[in-house]
Amino acid sequence: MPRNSIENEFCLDDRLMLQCQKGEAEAFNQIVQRHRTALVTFIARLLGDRETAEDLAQESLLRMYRAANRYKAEGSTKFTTWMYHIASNLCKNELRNRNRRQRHFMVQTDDQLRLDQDLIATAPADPALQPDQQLVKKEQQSAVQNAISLLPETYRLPLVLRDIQGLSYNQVSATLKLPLGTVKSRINRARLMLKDLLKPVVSPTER
Amino acid sequence: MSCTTIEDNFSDYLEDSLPAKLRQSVADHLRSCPNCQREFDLFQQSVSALQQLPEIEPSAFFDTDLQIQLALTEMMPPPERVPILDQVGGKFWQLIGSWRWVVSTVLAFVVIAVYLMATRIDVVLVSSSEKQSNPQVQSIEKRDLVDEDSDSFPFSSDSMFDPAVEIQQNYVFPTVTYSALSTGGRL
Ligand SMILES: [Zn+2]
Repeated sequence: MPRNSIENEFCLDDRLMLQCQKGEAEAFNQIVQRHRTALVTFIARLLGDRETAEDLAQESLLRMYRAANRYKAEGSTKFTTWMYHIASNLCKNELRNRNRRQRHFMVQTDDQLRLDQDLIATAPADPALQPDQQLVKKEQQSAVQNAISLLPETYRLPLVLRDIQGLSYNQVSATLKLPLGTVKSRINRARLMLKDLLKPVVSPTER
Repeated sequence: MSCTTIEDNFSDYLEDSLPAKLRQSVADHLRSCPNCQREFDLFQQSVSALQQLPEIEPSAFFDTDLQIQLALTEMMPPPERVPILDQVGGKFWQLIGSWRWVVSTVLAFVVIAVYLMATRIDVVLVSSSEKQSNPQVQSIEKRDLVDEDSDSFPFSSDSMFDPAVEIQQNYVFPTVTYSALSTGGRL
């Protein structure tokens, strides 16, 4: 995508937020339509759970709406980082609550696996693939989703922001309020962990 | 470049963001070390599998659910536009304005009563019967003040990134509104 159109995209969000501040309800609807899939994808991939993802995506949008008057348009990539910052905080809380629950009730990872399977089952099939290829692809996607769920939160968050949401290292750094160097080394570390977890699934000969 | 340090450069090498000299030494090592080459291939495929995960579309209920929650938020005025004190103060004077004649009548009676009390003992009875009109007025005033409190109360100014405050807002809002409405309806 040419640089110019990326900047226009960001300006559009800022413009919509400005209209929202002036009380134009339709402007926020457009914000929702533009970002709802990205938010649900981000949270679902991070938590491995679609239902919670929808709840938290809605909560993120509500928070953005309530804080709309405090939003200051600065061009560049401010809107994206603001949105993911709000969603990330909700996800961190959710992950911490889950850890606490797990420690208290000794919930087995079977639950997690089932959730991940749900997520894969709802993903659309790729029409370009043969049925058996589709099966292999689904199995691989399922394995990747499980591997994400096994990463510690501090590695999982930057990895999902970078490789699934496609943010730049600078955007990840601004979203998580972490130094650029920390973000880069955590993402590399997270990818290395993922590589080890996926060793049995991805074949090195296939290119 | 050794087998133990090469992994630290995998992301930069994959994204082609290494300085030329370092990139060359990574490339040289990979060419001469099948183990590291295999690990790098796995690395590359894992990242690509991750990046190719499909998007997840929100369910059919997502928009309707959100619209309902937004409509509930909409019923409250935006937090920054009117500071709480201005709002309460402004409404208070508005209220005094619309009840100006009642307030001044009551004040007039009180002044007359005090004057009469000071001059004649037997008028005390009259002045106390006049004061009977006060509770009614006060109860009306009180009800109106509760209504305007419910408009402004659920907002605190800095809740952008504070989950605790947000949760409080969520749960306080319906209780206050409905209790205020039902009190208003009954009185
Ligand atoms: Zn080596």
